[in-house]
Amino acid sequence: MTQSVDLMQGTLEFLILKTLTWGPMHGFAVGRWIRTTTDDALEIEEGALYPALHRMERRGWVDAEWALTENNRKAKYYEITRLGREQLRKEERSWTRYVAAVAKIMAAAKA
Amino acid sequence: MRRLFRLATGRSTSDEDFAAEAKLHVDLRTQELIEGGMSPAAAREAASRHFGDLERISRSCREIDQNRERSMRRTELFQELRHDVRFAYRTLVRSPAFTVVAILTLALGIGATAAMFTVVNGVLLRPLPYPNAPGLVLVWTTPKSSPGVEWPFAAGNFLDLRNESRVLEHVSAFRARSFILTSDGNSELLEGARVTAGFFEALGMQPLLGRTIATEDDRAGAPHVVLLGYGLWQRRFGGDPNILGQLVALNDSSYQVVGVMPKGFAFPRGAELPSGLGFPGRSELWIPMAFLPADAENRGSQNLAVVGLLKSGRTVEDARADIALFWRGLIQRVPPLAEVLSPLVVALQDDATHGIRRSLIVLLGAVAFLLLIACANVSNLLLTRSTARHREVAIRVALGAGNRRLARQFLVENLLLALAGGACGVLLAVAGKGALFGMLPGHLPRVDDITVDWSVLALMLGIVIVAGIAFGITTAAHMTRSDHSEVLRGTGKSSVGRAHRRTRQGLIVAEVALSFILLAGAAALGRSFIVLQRVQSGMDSQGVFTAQLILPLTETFDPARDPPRWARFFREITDRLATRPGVIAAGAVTALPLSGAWESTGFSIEGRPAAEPGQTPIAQYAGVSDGYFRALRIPLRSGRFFGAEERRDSATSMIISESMAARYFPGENPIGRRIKAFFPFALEIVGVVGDVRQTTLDSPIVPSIYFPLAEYPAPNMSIVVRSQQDARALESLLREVLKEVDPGIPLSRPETMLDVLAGSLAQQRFSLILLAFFACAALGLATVGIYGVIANVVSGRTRELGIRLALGAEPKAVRLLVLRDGLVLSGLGVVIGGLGAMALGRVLASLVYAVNPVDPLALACVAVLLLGVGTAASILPALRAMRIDPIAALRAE
Repeated sequence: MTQSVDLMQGTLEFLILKTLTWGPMHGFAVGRWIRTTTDDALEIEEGALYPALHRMERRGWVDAEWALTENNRKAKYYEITRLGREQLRKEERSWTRYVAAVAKIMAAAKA
Repeated sequence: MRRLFRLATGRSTSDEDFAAEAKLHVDLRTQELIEGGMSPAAAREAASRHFGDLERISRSCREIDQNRERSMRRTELFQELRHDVRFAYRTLVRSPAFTVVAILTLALGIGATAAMFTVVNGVLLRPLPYPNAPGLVLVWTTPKSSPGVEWPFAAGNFLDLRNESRVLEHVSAFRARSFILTSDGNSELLEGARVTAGFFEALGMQPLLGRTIATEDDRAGAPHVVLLGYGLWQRRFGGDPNILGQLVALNDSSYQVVGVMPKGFAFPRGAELPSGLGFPGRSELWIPMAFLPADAENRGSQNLAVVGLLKSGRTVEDARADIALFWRGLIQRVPPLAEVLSPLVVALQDDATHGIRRSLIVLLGAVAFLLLIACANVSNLLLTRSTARHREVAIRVALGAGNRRLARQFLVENLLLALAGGACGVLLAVAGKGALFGMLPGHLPRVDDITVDWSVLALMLGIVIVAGIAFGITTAAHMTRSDHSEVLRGTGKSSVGRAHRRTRQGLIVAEVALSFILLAGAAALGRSFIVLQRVQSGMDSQGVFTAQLILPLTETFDPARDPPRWARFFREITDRLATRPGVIAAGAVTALPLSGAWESTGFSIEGRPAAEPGQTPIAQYAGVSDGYFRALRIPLRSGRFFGAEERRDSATSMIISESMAARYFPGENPIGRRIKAFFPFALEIVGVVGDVRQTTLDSPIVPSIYFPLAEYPAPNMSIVVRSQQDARALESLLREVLKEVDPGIPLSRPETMLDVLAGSLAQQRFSLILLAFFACAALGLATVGIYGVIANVVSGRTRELGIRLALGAEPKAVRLLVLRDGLVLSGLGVVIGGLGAMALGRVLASLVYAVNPVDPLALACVAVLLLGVGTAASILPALRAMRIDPIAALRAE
C-alpha cells in the first residue's frame, strides 16, 4: 500500500481546512479527498482524523451538520466557517514560509 | 437540528453521534474496497481494522465534544446574562424617577446599617488589638458595699496573686502615670503607665525596637529604663533608629530608652478600663513598676490594675474559681480584707465594652428596623411599577419569553437595583462616618478600632444580595402568576390587583408598625434625656473653666513626703487667679464632678459603736482648696467653708455633703462632730454643703466627704475658675498664671465646665440622636409608602369611584372613602406597633433614666402622630379621587 506520512497535528488541521474549502464533506470524504489528491501519498488515520474534526468544531473552525448522502444515508457534514478560513489563511502563509525556508536549505546543501 | 445537537448534554448523545459517524465511514470504506475488487467479508474486515480502536477514538471525540458544549453553554449563559444586565440597565434608566427614589431609599437603609455596623464591629466584635486579647482577664477587687464596682488591687495582694495563681500566667500589674518629658528646654505632659515585668508578655506584644521590661528592670533601685510608644518616638525623636540606649529626661530624672512599641499600641487605654482609675485615653510610654520591699506588706492602698493571660485551655470561669480560692487563703493572712473586699475577674474584652454594649445593640436593632422599612418601601415601589409593566411583560411572554427567563430578568434587574442602592449606601456611610464618629462619646471604648473593614463590606454585600433576590422573587412571582392574555386584551386587572393590593397593604402596615416602635423608643430616650438635663448637678457650671494640673513626682517634690508644700503650690495658683480682674472665685479639687474619677473610703463616727463587719459606711471623698465651693457655687447648708484655719499645714477639719448629714446625722447637728475616714485620726465637721453628682448625672447621690487640700494632696488636681466673662477666655489667663508660678508645668484637659457637663451626657446624646434620626427616617419612608399605596388604590379604583360619582355620590364622601383607607392601614400598623413597643420596652429599660420605657403618654403621642401622618399622606390621593371626572373615568376603560 501507500507509504503513510506522519503528520503533525497542525499540518493535519491545515489539510482538513484546505479540503473543506471545496465544500461541506463528511469525515470519510475528507480522508478520501486527501488520499486521492495526493495520489495516495498521504493516508490520514481515522484515529487522527475524527478527533481533529471534533477539535476544530470546538474551536469554531468548522461547523457540523447532519444531512443525507447521495445514497440516503445520514452523515455528519463538516463545513469550514469564517473563523476556519481565517485560520487557513494564517497557516497557508506560515506553511509557504516554512516550505521556502526548507527549500533554501536544500538548495544551499546541493551547491 | 444543529441546535438540538449543540444542546446535547449527556454521554449517550455524543456517543451515538460518533458511532453513526464511524459506521458511515466504515461502510463507505468497505464499499470502496469492494469496488477495488475485494470480497465483501474481507473488505469489511479490512475497513474495520483500518479504522482502528473505535472505543479510543470515540472517547477522545467525546471529550472534545463535551468541552465544546461546556464552553458553549458558558458563553451562552454569559451572553444572556450580559444581555439581561444591559436590558435591566436600560429599563432602570428609562424610568429615572422610580430608579432614583428606589436607590436613595436603599442607600438610606443600607448606609445607616453600614455605619452602625461599622461602629458595632469596631467596638464589640473585633478583638482588641493585642495578640492575646481573647485570653486576657482583668482582676479587680470589689467592695462588699457595692458589689460589681471595679476597684484596683493592693501591691501586697497582687504579689501574692502573682505567685499563687494556677490558671493565669504573666500576671502583671499596671498603673497610670503622667510624665513630664523635657528635651531641648521644651516640656510636654505625657500619659503612660508603670508596669511590672510580664505585662507585655501577657498582652503578647513584641517591641518594634529593642526589648520590653524585664524582670531585672522591675526591682527597686534598678537603673531607670523606659519604653516609648510609636507616636511619641516619631513625634519627639523623629523616628530616630538609634534611639535605643539614649537618655531622656522624665520628671527631672533620666531614663534610658530600651525599646519602642509598634504603631497603634497604647494599652492601657482609658476607655478599656473602668473610669475613675485615672487611666489616660492612650498610653505613650511605659516604665517598670519597681516595687519597694515595703510594698509587699501593703494591703490597704488599692491602686493597681491587674491583668493576666489564661493558660491554654482555661476559661474565665476557671480563673474566677481559682482566684476565689486564692482570696480565701489571703483572708486568713489578712483578716480585715474579708470585711471589705472580694475579688472580681472580668475578661478584658467584656470590660472594654461594658458601658455601651446595650446601647449599641439597641441601636443596631433600630437600624435593622430602618433597613426593613426601606426594603418594604422599595418592594412597594416595585409592585406599583410591575402593575405598570404588565403590558410589557405580557408582550414579551407572547413573543416567547419563558417564565424562567422572565424570572431571571427580574432577578438581574432587582439585583442591579439593590447593588446600586448598596453601593450608594456604603459611600454614604463612608462619607458620613466623620459626622457619626464626631458624635461618638469621647470615652466610647475603642474609638481607635473603628474602621470600615472587609467584614462590614461583606455584610453589606450579603444584605444587598438577599434584598435583591427578595425583590426579584416578589416581582417575578407577581408577574408570572398573572394571566398575560387577559392583560393584553386589557381586561385582567381586578383579579391580579386584589392579591397584589393585599401584599402592598401588608407592607404598609408593617412599615407603620416598625416606625411606631422606633418612634416610641426615640420618645422614651428623648424624655429620659430631658429629665437627665433637668437633673440638678448640684453646682453652677455656667461661667466656669477647668483644667487639670499634673505635677511631676520627683525626689524633692512628692505630695506624700511634703503635703504642705504641695498644697501651697496649688493655693498659690488659685490665689493668683482669684485676684485677676473678672475672676469671681478659683479653687482646686482632686476629683472634678462628672468626670467619673472619684474614690471611696469607709468611715466611722466618733462616739458611736463600731459598725457590724461588712456594714462599714462608705463615702466618696475629695480634697479641695478653700475657693472650690465658691467657684462651683456649691451651696453651704450649715457651718462654714474651709478658710484660713485650713491653710495651716496640718488641718483638723472636714466638710460633709447634705445627704451624708441627712443619712448619718438625722435630726442632729453634725457640725462639731468628728469622723474618722481615710486617715488614722478623726477630723471635725465644720460645714455641710449641697450634694453634687460626682460620677455621672444619672448616678445616685452618694454621701461625700471633703478634706482640706493640705491634708489630702494628690498628684492630679483640677483647677476651677469662675469669672464674669466668657469661660473660654479663662484658658489664656490660667496659662499665664501657671507660667508665673512654675513654667515647667503643663496644663491638661482645658475645657469649660459646661463642656464637662455635656461630655457626661455624651453617650445618652449619641443614642438619642441616632435613634431619633432612625425614627424620623422611618417616619418619612412610611409616609411615602402610605402615599404610594393609597395613590395606587385610587388610580386602580378610578372606574368604581367614577361610577359612584356618576350615581350622585358626594365628592366629600368619596374623599372620606379614600382617607378611610389610609387611616385603616395606619391604624392597623399603630396597633401592631404599639404591642411591639410594649414587648420591646424592657430592652430600653437600661438605657433610660427615671422614665418608664413604655410610657402610655409617649405611646399615645406616637400613635396620634402616625395616624396623622397616615391621613396626611392620603390627602393628595383623596383630593384627586374627589376630582375624578365620571365621564372620563368611564370612557377610559
